Amino acid sequence: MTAKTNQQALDRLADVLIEDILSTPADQLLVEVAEDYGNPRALAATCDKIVLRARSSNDRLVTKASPIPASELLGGFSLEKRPYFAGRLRGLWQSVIPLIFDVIFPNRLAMITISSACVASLGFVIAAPTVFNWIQARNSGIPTGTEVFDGAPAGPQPRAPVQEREVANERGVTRGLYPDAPPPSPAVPRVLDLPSAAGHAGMRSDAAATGTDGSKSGSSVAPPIAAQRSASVSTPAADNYVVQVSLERRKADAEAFIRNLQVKLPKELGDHKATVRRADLGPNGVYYRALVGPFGSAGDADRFCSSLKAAGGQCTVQKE
Amino acid sequence: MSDLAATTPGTPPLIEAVLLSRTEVERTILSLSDGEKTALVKIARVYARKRNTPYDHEDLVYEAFTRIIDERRKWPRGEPAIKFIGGVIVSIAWEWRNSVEVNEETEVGDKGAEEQSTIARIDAKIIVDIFEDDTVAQRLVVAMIEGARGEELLNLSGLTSTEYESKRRKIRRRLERLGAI
Repeated sequence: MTAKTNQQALDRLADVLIEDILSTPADQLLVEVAEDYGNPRALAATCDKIVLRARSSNDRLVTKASPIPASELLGGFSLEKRPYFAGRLRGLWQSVIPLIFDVIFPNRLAMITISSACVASLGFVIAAPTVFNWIQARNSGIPTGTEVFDGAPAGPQPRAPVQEREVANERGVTRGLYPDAPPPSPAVPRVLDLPSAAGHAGMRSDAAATGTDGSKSGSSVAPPIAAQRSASVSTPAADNYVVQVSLERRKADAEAFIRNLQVKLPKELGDHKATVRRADLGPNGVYYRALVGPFGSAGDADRFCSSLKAAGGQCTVQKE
Repeated sequence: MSDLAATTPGTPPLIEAVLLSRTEVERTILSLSDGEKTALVKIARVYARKRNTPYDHEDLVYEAFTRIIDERRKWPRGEPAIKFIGGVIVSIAWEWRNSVEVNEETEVGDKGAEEQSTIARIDAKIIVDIFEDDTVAQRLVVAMIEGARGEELLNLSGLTSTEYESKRRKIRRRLERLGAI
């Protein structure tokens, strides 16, 4: 038997079976389904799902191809047609929204342009306050938190104590600002060479060990800036001498030097405050001074510097 | 069709007098009883199983409803739902089968054909052999395969009308349970 002959035989058999299905009472068919599936509605439920899929698929196609006219939607409403009213409303919704978008965004280029402008405007609104503050601070000369004051003239200065980054020198409590900064540039010599077995490099490694997160630095709490400010402002005439112990290219190096000084020579430092100041040396570039002070007189500063030198260090006395 | 679609102002379109409108089609489909739905799925299963197509009976039913709803298949007014939808299912099954018509020269017994052809698995001879234990049923199945219909089958069986219908139903149920067709 060829395939075609076999197929024809099966077709004829199928026709008779279809006849039988069509002539079988509905309740009998449901009984058969219950026997086969345990649920008389098993095949009917399958059919329901298929009809649902077919209708929703067709709704999408019809809505896309030909929106329902408003007159047909609203004019023909009656109690008899109520079951279909929700479907028509859905169709209206699906047709009106795309129409609105077609009007607002006639082409994709316009849509992309408008969207980009909206995003850019939003970004500007968010960033503007920060940028304006930064520009204002730059123009007025007030440090913005990451700066330290440079070698400014003596006397009360509005910019110096407000947001300076000081390293506290009280009972070994230090405040490191840039613990993860890279090592210093070897090209710039230090003013003060401390007597350490490990030398300066050793001091730096110690500094790393006792950095802002180390045990020796403790909680890294500096005296309140406002208190420092009031102190420095209240005695402007007396505190006008400082001792420079190091001059560094990088602020982090100057801070690290001070931390090492506090560790290596706590006795010599005593209660004197150590600070880092930015020094703009013009064509020579910007340096950072590690300073101790201020001292009430040149004599006090000299005495402190002498004690440091006696301990093996170097320093210079400067008038603020 | 264009003549049928021609309308006169103030009177309903002529085409609506002959064919169901889309609203009426949807309403009729939604009002099908569970028995009618079950019959449709059974019809689709019979045709899907014996056709050499990659589609199953659910594909057939879905395609039938889709074509009816989007009015590719016009529903004549007064045509019973089960008859019309069943006819669409059968028509689609034929259409799909013709699109993958097997080679006429291929012998079912060939090894390659057996592996590739659904027809080879649902062999008419195998179906006849299923009813070896029931000579009357086997005789009826052979007659069905050879193309006998209605009265002819009834006469061949030597049964009363009721007995014949009962036997035919048993044949269908047995084939359904075995998934043979």
